[in-house]
Amino acid sequence: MKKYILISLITIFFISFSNAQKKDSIIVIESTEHRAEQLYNNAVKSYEEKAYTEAINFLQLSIAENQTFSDAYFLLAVIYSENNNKQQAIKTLNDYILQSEYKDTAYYLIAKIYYEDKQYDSAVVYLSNSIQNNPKYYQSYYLQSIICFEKAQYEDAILNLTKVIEIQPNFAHAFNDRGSAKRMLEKYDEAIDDYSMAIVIDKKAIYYNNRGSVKMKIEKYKEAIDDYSAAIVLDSNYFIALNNRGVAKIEIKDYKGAITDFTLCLEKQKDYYSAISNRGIAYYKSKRYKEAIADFDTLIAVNPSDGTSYLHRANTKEMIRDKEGACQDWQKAADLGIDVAKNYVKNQCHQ
Amino acid sequence: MHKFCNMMKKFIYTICFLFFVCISYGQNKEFTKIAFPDNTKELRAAQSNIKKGKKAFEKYADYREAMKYFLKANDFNPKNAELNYKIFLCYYELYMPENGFSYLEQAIMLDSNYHPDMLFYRGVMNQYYYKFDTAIYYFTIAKTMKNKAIKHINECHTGKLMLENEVRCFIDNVGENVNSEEDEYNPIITADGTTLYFTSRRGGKNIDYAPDGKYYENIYVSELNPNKQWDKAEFVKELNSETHDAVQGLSHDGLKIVIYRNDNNGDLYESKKRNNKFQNPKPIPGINRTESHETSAAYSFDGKTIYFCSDRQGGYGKHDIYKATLNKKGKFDKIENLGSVINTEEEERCVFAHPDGKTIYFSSQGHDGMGGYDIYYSTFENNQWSKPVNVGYPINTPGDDIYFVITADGKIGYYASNQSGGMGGKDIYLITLLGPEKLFVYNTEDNLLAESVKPFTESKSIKTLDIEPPKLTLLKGTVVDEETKTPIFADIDLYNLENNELLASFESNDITGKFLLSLPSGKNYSVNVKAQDYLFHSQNFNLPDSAGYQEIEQIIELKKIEIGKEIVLNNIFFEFNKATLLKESINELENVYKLLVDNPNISVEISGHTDNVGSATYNNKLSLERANSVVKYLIDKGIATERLSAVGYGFDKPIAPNTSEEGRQKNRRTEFKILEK
Repeated sequence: MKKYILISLITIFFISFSNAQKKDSIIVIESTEHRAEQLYNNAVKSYEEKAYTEAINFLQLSIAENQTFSDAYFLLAVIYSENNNKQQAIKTLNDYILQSEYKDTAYYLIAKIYYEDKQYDSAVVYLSNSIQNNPKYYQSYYLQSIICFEKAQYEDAILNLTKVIEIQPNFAHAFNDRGSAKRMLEKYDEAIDDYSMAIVIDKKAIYYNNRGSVKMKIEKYKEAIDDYSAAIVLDSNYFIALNNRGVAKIEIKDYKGAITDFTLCLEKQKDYYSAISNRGIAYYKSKRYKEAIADFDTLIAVNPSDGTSYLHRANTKEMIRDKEGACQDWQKAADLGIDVAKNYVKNQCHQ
Repeated sequence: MHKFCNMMKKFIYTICFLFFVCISYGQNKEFTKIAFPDNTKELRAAQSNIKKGKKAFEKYADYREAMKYFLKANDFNPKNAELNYKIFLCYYELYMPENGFSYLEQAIMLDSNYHPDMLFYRGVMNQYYYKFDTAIYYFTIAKTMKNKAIKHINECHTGKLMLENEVRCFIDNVGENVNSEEDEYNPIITADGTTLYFTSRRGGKNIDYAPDGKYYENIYVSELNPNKQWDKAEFVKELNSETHDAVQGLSHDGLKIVIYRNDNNGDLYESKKRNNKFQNPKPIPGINRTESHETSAAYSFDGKTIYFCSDRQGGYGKHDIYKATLNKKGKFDKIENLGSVINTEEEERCVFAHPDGKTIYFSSQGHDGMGGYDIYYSTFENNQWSKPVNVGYPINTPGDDIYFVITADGKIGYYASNQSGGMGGKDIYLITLLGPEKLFVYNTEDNLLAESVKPFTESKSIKTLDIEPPKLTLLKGTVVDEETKTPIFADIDLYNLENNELLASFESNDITGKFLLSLPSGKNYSVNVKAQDYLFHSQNFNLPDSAGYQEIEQIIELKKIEIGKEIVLNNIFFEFNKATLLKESINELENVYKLLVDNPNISVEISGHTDNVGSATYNNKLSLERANSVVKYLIDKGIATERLSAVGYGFDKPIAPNTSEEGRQKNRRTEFKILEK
């Protein structure tokens, strides 16, 4: 996300810079303005050399020479933002807004800073300003959709994303995100359509993975496996797709295949505990109880307060007729808040 | 699955063996002088054996005898397709198909065109070894036995599904104290699972061989010891005769038994226990028919119904399951076929009625199964039987799975099987049912938003099958004398208090005083225990539909009818905060009335008691009014006023702490005390 902000800021900076150049050609610069511009040019040079303190000094001097020099405000805000001086960045962007007629980006950037600080309400205010200033500014709709999603306002997220798609019909991310919002609303068929559209625009592993996960929801496990496989082909290090495919294989009782996927996933990401747990379940399902217990042992050693691992290990011990061990683990799981384990203790152990 | 693996190993070994046989042997070899020019004497002996074998096979269907001769001939010439096929058929008819499989394969290898049925049987054997796809192939290409092949193909499809949805259970041989080298089958248990009767074809003193070459069937019993092991089985002398005696059914308390004897085409006999021994078994009137074969029997929870199997005319085909109801004279009549939901054109055998009062288990060849006999259950609700449900693999296999019984709590079952690893022939196996799959939760993860690295994780439970546990209360009681603690032979009546209907009558064991009642949930029961010269004991079990399985053990101490003795009348109920008797009290009031009539010299005190909620004045008044209501009922029935006195003690004489609702409920009671005799 930071990378995106940086790229955006730099792009905006260059756009603003070129605008300033255009203005130069038609406006006669008086002496203070000329000095301001020279200082600004020095600031740009320092900025490019990552001499931020020097750049800030030049920009402050530039603004002192010409308090209406909006480009100087903008670059100053960019530098503050890059140096994580968010308050100064917001203040400077507000100053820029007072001086510039191109306000949409500045509002957007302020919103972005608030969003990153999880101040969603403030972010939404600035995004509204941005959209009011420029109803075609799709980035603001997009950021607004992300905020809605994170606030679990999926209907609103869909509205914003639909707007993004109207403005930018080839923006694949928007289709992906709208698919995800629809997934959260359990509109699985519509979600699949959106993910499919994202894939048509741009074949990305994440889109395939997400579509696969919706197919899991509607119990089309074989199709889910196909999607996860496509994701893995596109990104062989996409370990979460390997884990998800393993789970889909459990569902179709391909336990051997599931174990292979979880093991491969763990080769990519060795401390990915979900895959260890899922592999334990796959071992259990294929009656390889000792290996299942070994996986659950690993999880318990890493996180002794994980009741689910105790539950799983107890269930496995039951199958190797270790009733005492199973009861101890069910009891531990119950103590750690796993309600179903309480029933197991009651029904299986107190007889 | 262990069983499945063993079967697969056997299958693979057989295939490997046949492969080597195939290499070392040549083509079909007839029993002719041309084929054996130098072994005239041996050839003649082999031909004679074949002739004798064919006679036993074709004329008498004595496959054991036929096999004996065929095997001798096969020793001389193992390369004859016809002989190998005949040996296979003998084993098949004797329910030992795994022993015959290599002979079938040998026959096909020697001459694949010898008999058109061979492909069908190859399908059967592949089905037996769980090779369902291969089996379907052979059934499809078999040109004979088409109708049967279609049924087998369906079974293979069902079998594949059943393998995928394995029932969680442990299956263990019950051990050498029960099983022997010979066949053991027909396991029958008491509802609490502590006594096991079974049929065995083992040898022993004065046990002869039956015409089929095995020993006659006899009945044995074993008791479950405190270590949960079955004690050494004992021969039940009083139930066994010189010929076949096979146990078929047992009342849930173990005091009545139904056995099969080979009379009149096969009849059912009943015997009751007295002095801890079964009496001479007698044919069950109303059930047996001379022209038909009656077998298998199961008592309903109240003993008022017997389910049995019969091949009598008018059924749906072969053996069907019927029920007979006990009439007022104590005889079974009103025989009804259970109908087309349960019975099919094929065999239905080995019925067992669960103590929950609504479920039957039975074996059938006609329902949707894996092959051979499979075990099913059905419940009787809303006046109809539910569609039978297959109890699943590994209890059911492609072979014959029969003689299934299950304890009242639904956790332990028994059945007979000739699976590998046994002690010889059919053995009795213990099935420990582990219930539905335990909960497992797996985790998935997605990056739902394209520009957010924040993962979205989800946990999901693996789907489990919800199996409803049986809903009943098992009351295990012992009736003893209050003072001497010696066991008492008592009558136990079970009433439905909703309508005061007598549901069933039982007796305690005359030696041990023990009894066992199954009380299916959904009724308000009164259990009345009566014995000569004793005050009766009554208890109330109000079990709503939702009441789950529970076992209650009680020692019921009966009090002699003597001055000063008192009992709680547990089934007398009043309207809330009033002295008006509820209709549910009628049965108990009648018990008191009968006691007073039977003992005309006694005078009694009827006392009312309350909990401590409210003032003493109020409770004293209420308790007295309630006692008066009881006295009035008895006076209205004709008991002399001077024999009855009513007292209201309020909350002065609690029998339990008033600190809990349970305690307060106990304290709200009516008592009966003998004042004079």
